[in-house]
Amino acid sequence: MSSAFRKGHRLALQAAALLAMLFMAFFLYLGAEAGSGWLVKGLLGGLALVMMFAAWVSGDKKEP
Amino acid sequence: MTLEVSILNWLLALSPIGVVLVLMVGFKFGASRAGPLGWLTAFLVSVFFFGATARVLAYSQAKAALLALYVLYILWMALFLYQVASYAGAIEKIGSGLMRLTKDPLLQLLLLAWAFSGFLQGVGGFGVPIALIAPLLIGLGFEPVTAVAAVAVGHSWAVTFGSMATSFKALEAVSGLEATALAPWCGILLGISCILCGLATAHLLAGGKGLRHGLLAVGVVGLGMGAAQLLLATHKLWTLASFVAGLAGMGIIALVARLNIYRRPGVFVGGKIEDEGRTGATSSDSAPVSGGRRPMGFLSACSAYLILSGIVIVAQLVGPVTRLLSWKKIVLDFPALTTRFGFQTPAGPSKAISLFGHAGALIFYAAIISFFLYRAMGRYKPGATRQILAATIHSAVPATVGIISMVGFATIMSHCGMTHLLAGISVFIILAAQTTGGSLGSMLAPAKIIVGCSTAGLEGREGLVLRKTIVYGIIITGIIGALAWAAVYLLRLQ
Repeated sequence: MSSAFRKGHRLALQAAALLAMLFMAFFLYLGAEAGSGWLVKGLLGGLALVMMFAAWVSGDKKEP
Repeated sequence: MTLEVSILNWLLALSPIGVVLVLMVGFKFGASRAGPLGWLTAFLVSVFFFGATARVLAYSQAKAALLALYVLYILWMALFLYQVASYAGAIEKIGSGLMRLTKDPLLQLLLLAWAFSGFLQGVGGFGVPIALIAPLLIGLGFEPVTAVAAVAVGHSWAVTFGSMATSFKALEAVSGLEATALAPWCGILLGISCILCGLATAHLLAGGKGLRHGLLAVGVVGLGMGAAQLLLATHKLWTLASFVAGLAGMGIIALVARLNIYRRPGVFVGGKIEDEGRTGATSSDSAPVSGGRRPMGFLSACSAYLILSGIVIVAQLVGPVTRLLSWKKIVLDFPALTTRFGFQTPAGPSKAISLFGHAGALIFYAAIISFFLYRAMGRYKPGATRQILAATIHSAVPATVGIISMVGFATIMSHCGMTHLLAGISVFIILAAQTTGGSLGSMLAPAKIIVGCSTAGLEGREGLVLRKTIVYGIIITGIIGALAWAAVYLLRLQ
């Protein structure tokens, strides 16, 4: 991972990931209530991608 | 299709937890990285092996987000309160003040990580003890990993009757049994756990040497706390059981500290940074600045936590105030859900988040009042407000990623029958053993460890703490399990 992450961008990217998680969870509820199968499946796929993204941006900092 | 009970399915159900444990303990991943990977495992396993449908997953994740917000409300506000106190130099002062109560590092650790944490678990819970006490211990000079692990282990005896007995009430509701019938065995097993947690806390500090040195104190104080909890629980005062037991423990420790063997200055160097700890220098280095400010008394330094205790007690025990604060709640209704394998989750509302009466809100009130109080005392340098907010956000964001993903996969597991497959059976002693096991399991709870690590400046090192607590968790839970087994099958108790 580039040094840009180590200089503070990590926090912004993690914040973006967690906001995306929360928004997707909210829209998943609305999608499920509306019975929209494709929207729900798309959002679940998106949520999986966001989780992978969150793992990736959090991956640079290992314990000593 | 039905959910088949087999070794393979049991292992698959365990796989998300296994992935997180292996990544955190074995590969030293932080929770913000291991959590999302555990979520992906649960997601894939639930779809391919447990019949999860898109509808089940969608509702489960919405429910998880609300549950996560319930915990995060406390975490964010606890971090904010800690920074408010820390930048005022209060943490440094509390540390040096408590050192005057007892010079013995073991008693200092027991006082904060075992008794005070039980008190805070009683009135707050949901991560409050670990979030608030871990940084205090570091301020006293304890090594950070030991500090977080000690509170994780030390507070776990108080979880069932903690948070105003929320877990105990849940046990009563789920089992359909009378609370008066459940309380005695719960009190007995939790009392034994209390002593075992105290011994584990002593061992955490200095191994066998700590255990021998702390045996008398842990025995006396543990019996006192266990008896207080049992007494209150069996007299229908379960909401106060942990809280009063913790308070009693703090009082008994203050008395025990007068015994000759505990009056000698610190003899351990195990988990404690001996030289720096003597002056409380470690906390002052990390955040607050004390130069050029008026001196601060011990009580003034404690004011943030005294204000918090006062607010929590009033909010929980004074009916009209409780009702006033509970007027606005965030709650969503969820329908009944069924997987392709027929596992059902009944319909019902989500966990309600009381905007103004939630523990997080109470901590926020305490933080705001404390901020203005410390400012009136001239404790902040120019620009402190911005620094406090920046420090809070810096700790909160990675912890939040970890918590949301972990709660997310736990909810997938519970909605697809994976948790059900891992769970066991029930009646009085067994139920008491189960709730005690659940209480003790909180020392391994990733969400709580994330909370502790974030306030202790150990973000990304949650695996180190988990590696310490997991050993004590297995041993203590094993002892409680063996006692329950002996009570049921050898002594034939009912």
